[in-house]
Amino acid sequence: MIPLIFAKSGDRVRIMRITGGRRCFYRLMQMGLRIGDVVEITQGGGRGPVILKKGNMRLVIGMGMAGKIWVMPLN
Amino acid sequence: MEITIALAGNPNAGKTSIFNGLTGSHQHVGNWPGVTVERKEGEFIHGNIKIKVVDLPGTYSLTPYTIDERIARDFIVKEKPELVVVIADASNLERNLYLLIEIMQLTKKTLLVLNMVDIAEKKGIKINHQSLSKILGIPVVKTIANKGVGIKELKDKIVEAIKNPQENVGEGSFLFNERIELAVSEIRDRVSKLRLIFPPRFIALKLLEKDDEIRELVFSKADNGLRTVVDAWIARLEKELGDDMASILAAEKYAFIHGLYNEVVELKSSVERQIDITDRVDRVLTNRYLGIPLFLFIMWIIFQLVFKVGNPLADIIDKLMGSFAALISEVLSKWGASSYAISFITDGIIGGVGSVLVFIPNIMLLFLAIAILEDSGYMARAAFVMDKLMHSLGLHGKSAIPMIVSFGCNIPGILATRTLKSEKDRILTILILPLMSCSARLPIYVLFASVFFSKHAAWVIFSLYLLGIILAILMATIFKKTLFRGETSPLIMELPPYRIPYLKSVWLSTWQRTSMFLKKAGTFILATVVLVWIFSSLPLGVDYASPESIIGRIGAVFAPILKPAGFGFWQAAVSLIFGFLAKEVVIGTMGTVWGASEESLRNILPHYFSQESALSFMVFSLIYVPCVAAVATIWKEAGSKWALISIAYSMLLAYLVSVLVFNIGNLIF
Repeated sequence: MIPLIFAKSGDRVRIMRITGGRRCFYRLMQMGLRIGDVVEITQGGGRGPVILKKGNMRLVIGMGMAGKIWVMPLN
Repeated sequence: MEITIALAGNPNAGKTSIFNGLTGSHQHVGNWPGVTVERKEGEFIHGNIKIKVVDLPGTYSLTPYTIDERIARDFIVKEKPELVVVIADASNLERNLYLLIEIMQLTKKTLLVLNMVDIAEKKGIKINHQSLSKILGIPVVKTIANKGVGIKELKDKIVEAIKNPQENVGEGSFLFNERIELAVSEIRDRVSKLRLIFPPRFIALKLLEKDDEIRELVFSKADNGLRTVVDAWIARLEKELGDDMASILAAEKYAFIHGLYNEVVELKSSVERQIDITDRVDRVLTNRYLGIPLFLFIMWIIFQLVFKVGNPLADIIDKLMGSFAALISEVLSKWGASSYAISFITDGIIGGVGSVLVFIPNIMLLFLAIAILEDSGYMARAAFVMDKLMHSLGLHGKSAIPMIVSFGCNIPGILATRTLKSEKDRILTILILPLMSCSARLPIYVLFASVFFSKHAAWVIFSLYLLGIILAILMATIFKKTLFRGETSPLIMELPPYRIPYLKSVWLSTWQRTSMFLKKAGTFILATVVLVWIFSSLPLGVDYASPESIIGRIGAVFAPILKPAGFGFWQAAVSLIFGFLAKEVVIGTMGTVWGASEESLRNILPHYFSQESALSFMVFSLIYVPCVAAVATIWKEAGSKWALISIAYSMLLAYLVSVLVFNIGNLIF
């Protein structure tokens, strides 16, 4: 498992854990991101916010929060 | 009879298209239309019923996590609309259902709209809306709102739902596991005795979820017994189910939604995976290296559009106003009107308002550009691209949007900060927004720059905008180190797919904002200009706007203070004093005190200003106090303390910077 912030552009990753507070966790849930989801990293690499794609949805996740989401790279 | 319904939905679910489709042009926007935050109302008549539609802010849920969510929740709970129409993006149904479930816990009267079904079907998502309707027990309508498909059926269903409310839906539509339901029913029974405005089951669930706001609300009214019961249930359930209560409830809700989704959605795997246009465009526009240069380039194109296209149109209006004033003056003197009356109407009213109306083309083009940015989906990218920069200033990526909107007008910009969820981020953004040069300041720059820097006018104006941004960065850093220590809140934001902007929504947005400006020009500014005329003509017998008039004396008091900045004469002081009422008035007031049209002001100004003092005057106009309407909005949004701080710091900063500019200018020119 690595923090989302280290995932690279083009990676496909599975979301494993969210270690932020309850609010972070809720926010991601409400935006449609859940533990176990497989998402594609459209922009990553740790030098700015991450863009990820799940189905038809694109989310921007700031660096702070991306450090609190743990993912498993799939490829 | 009039009936109120509310529109709710995720951002980007097409709520605005539905709202426009339902109400057409019968819309009333609150005092100042924010991006999506201010309260929009409209109405339509269908089946002999007049229906008022309130467009709630776009939200992902109803936890009081952001101000938007709180507004939406409170409206549903307190104003009890006859029907809440929940608009869902059919291509992202699962997430949209989450909000629906939350709303169904608050009210029984809901209707679900599956919007953008064409896009969903292109992606191979086919939704069985009849079975969805049956399971949820609420009406479900399919629409393609931006093409007007399904709007009539939606109106039929709305009227039908109002006439025959389905009472047996809502609460029972989905249940948690037995253990949780046991806890819910015990807490619910105790809570229902308190007669709070929220439904008892909703409160019971929120208490179990450990929602701080609801806990405080309920426990302040209940005896200690309730708190003990709730906490005992939480402890017991967390032990039994082996997780945090909030996670358990969220997981159950999602399990229900997931099950529902699988039941009603048919995914066609045969659909080819097309290469997404949005991805391709994003590869360029949100590129790490190209993103910011492209953002600045887009801003530059917008300003070219506003001036190169706007100025010839402005000239036409100016000429028309000039001939109009001449005509009126001729007619009035034929009727034997006194010279006072003629002066009042031509110098005061036509002269003052006219010099504001002249800038309508520029301002309308600016609002048009902002509307296109919003509608095309680029606005969210701008926030992304700017996030790192904003973050290093101690601001939030989302602050970029209010800042961009503020270039049009600070007031919707201030209102747009409601999408920032932390109060600290919000107030910090609000404080620096007035440094974003709004369109009302543009008339001052256009006139002064074209008179004093004719060939380089566009560059001078561009540098003023840039100066505003630089000062905003500087002030943000200072405020961050003094008043707002601590972390900025995390950024999570959705990027909508790119699309070609819809003419209708772009037009409505442009028109709404421009008409706000027009209303302001028509009433507020007219009143100011009339006041200036009166002050300029009293005491009776003095020459119009002479140093002996009231206004001349007021200006003379302030003039010496402004001398170090290079414009220490009473006319400049007077214009600036009235500019506090609205910055558009600065030029209008100059027109009045010098008894001149915009054309003749061009000849008068060089007698009073040099290049460096003109520059210093523009800089002062950029920075000094937000206009009265903006101050009032800050007051309302952030409180009196911050409104006063905003006035105080901007006055001080304006003085310091313009004195600096004037003296440096003296050395160079």
